[in-house]
Amino acid sequence: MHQTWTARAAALLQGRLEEMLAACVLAVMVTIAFVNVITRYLIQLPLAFTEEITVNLFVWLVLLGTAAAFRDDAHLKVVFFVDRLPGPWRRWVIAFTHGVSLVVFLVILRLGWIQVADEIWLGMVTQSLGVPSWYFTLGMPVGALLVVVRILQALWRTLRPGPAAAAPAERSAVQEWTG
Amino acid sequence: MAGAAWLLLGSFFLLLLLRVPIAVALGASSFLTIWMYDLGFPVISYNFWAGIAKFPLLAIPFFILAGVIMEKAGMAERIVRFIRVLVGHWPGGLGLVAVVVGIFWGAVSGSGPATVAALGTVLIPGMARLGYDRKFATAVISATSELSIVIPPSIALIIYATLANQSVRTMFMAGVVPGLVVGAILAALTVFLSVQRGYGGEPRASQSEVLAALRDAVWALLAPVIILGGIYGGIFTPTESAAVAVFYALFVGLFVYRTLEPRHLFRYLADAVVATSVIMIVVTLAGIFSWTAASIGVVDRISQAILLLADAPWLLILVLNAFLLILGMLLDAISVYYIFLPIFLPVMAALDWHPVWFGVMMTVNLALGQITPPVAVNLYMGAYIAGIKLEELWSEVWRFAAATVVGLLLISYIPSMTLWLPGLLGMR
Repeated sequence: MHQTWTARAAALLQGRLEEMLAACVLAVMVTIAFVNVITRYLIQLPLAFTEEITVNLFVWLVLLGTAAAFRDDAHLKVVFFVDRLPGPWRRWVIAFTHGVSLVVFLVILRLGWIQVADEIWLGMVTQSLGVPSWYFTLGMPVGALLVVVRILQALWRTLRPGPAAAAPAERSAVQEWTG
Repeated sequence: MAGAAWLLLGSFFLLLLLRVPIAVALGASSFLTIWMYDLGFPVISYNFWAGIAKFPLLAIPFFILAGVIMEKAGMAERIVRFIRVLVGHWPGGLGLVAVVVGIFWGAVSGSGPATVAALGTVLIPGMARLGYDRKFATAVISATSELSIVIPPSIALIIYATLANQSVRTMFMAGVVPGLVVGAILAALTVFLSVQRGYGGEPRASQSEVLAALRDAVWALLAPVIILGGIYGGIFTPTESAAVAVFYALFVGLFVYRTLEPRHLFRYLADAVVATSVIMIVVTLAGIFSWTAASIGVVDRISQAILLLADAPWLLILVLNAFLLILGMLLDAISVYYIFLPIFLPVMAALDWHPVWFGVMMTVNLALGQITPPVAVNLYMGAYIAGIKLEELWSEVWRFAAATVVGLLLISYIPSMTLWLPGLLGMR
């Protein structure tokens, strides 16, 4: 049993775990927002507390999506200069960029975890729902942890010997939908 | 603390040029400065959270999702077909179709590359089949799609509104006329070039064909009416209107056009999630960057330096635009807002410049950045769809970039062009 469980977890980490979660989060958020419009107009019942849910779920969504974007190498970046470097150089520079990303998200992971611990210790509750606020804040360390895993995977792909690793990411700039 | 300023800006630009993701470069340079100058680490996690958890920003994932679903439901295709039977028979007709549809889709989508993706897959092969040069077709579509962030709804205007404390509704109203003006300039250039190169029109469609295309496209044509009408009419907030747009698109795709399959919905959601997160991670880390810049006092000093030019506002406007243009070549619009708006806001206040006008001017400028290399998101997307090299595209695109500069100058020196419509509706 234990083995199948780890195998399954490994398969999820190879696959699209965070996208599945985040897609569900987005579906919930947009449905809540839509239902809120309807209840406000049809039964004159604005559901104010829903804003707290959607806004906080948004943070979960962004970190899960950030992890997915690291896996797909979809983050917005200036590829112009580095992609003109010779292969081995490019590989080391890209490995370096993963290192920088790793540090940034480890900092967010650590600080997010401290904030969760503080909120548990202080017994903080949210303003309109009155639930423990760390339920929401937990998204920060958990999401950052997933991001860290994806960065480590990307780093491994870059450093692994073989010609494929040195190829510039063709898709990287393409998936940017940035406004 | 000049040293802190050099550390922050220097490390940011160095990392940026080294291919570090923009969001990470913003975060790393801020964290480094906060650490070296002991500005207080705990503020990071609070700011990180607060940078995302804002109600107006929820409109971003919802508009992106609505755009994805509308595209997959075949709405873009139907609008293309309809505009084609209307004006396709004119000389250079299909080029004009591309610009008009680009403007129209701008009223549905809030993101440039998303518009290139939605329209390019339909229009580039269509134009190539009629003898248009592939590069030219791609250039027209990539250039027109810059208007998506000027014409509401627009992700860029939402971000500007939250940062400059303006209402999203007012910004959405202010973007209309400048968007149409730049659109008209691009349309004129496209028709002129098409005629010059002898790209003819198509055979004229019969009246029954026009009616059939209209009947087919009417649900798609209603989408911007619902989105923008709802916002302007005060029926929905922009965020709500985006949520309504998602369900409208689902309804049309599942029950009217029957082009969507429920089992693909998960894919659309996932696409929207990634597209949203790529933007939002920049938003929140740029927020921390701008907090850091403010804490070390660099912001005030740059504002003061800019105000040295206050005696010649026309020159200042020119210098600011040139500066933004160069930045827009390297950075995305959102990072530029976060990094530079804190500097510009006191300048605007001191010179009594209207923040709504300034926001639209800045957005048009940064829209231009979407088609100017090396970082040109619309060109990347266009080149990818058309299967051509980015470098080849520039030989065609530069004319459209120059035409956009003409529009930008008009907007910069005639503020009433921007402020007239919101003023008419009492929104100033």
